[in-house]
Amino acid sequence: MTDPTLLVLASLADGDKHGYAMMDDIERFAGVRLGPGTLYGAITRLEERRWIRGLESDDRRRPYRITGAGREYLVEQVASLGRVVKTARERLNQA
Amino acid sequence: MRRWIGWAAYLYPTEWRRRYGAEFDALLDDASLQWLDLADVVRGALIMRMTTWNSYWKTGAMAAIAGAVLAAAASFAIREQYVAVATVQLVKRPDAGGAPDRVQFERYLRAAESGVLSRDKLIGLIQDPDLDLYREERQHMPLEAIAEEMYRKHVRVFIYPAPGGLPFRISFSDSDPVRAREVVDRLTASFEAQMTREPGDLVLHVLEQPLTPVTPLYPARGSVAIAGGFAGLTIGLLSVLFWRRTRSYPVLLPAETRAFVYSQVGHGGYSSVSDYIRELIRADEQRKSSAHS
Repeated sequence: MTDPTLLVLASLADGDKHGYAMMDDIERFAGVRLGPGTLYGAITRLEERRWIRGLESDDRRRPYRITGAGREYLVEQVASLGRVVKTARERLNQA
Repeated sequence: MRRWIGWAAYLYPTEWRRRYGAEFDALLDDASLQWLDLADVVRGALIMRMTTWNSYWKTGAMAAIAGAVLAAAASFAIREQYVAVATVQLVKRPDAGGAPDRVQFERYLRAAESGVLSRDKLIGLIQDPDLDLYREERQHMPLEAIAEEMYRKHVRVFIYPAPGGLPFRISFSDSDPVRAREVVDRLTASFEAQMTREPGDLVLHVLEQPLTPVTPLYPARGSVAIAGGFAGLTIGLLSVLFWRRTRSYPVLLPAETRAFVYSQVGHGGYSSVSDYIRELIRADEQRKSSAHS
């Protein structure tokens, strides 16, 4: 899974994070390093779709939180990916 | 690296920078940046421009600037080449008299050249530990291939017309200016030695000893940046064309609806029909998002 928007949603699923924390988290759990342009492109799109929202912060490092709609979308995508993985695994076992 | 990427971040639209600029800068301060991140930020900025701008020339101009910046940055990865040059002249011995004969001169020169620049002689220079030429190439290329490359790309012997004599130049290009001069010194000495062995009445005079070059011949960073600018312009315009073809949806409207839309654009402070439609979609998204939460 290398879709930056899904990776950002997955990163925010367990709590609020700012940009660098997301980049670091995604690299650890997915083994994918998102460049700054890619990461903020995804953040911009997700915020426009209201799937995440930026929280107020005194620091320059603004944390983001996944919204209800964002969590719902992530659940759908994970279920869909799960079906693909399950099917692939079954077919590999049959072969 | 941080500075280059910081500059590239200015390629983002002003609106975007107003919203995300501070936190984006904070991310750049925290992350350990790589060269690939420069391309990533430029690409991100161009995509953001294409999704927010309506004019082709602005996108093209921004892509041209981005191309020039990237090309200039890439030119620093190219090894600089310095060229040292010696000017020598073939003249008739004083006791021989008469004007130099061009045909005879060229025959002598080619004979000398085939001796001085023979594969064995060049391999001798390449293997000279004092010169340490082509260190990296020697790790993975046969000496014959390096000598061939040296002859084809880096050594030049060329005649140029001048009154009263038949001068020619011997040049060599290398990433190290001192080494470039030393190689030309050696080649000039070899030419002198070779000419003394040739039968005939011509002798070699050195008119200008090679100097250690101060400025590199290439990469010419200005030219590289200009070429990058043109490439960026082309890619930018093609990308925006492609972007619009794949992300625009024709909508058929009856005449009265069209009139209403135009009146909304005119009176509602929207810059275009697209702007108005985007605002309607955003409002719909917001309404549905509020209904979910």
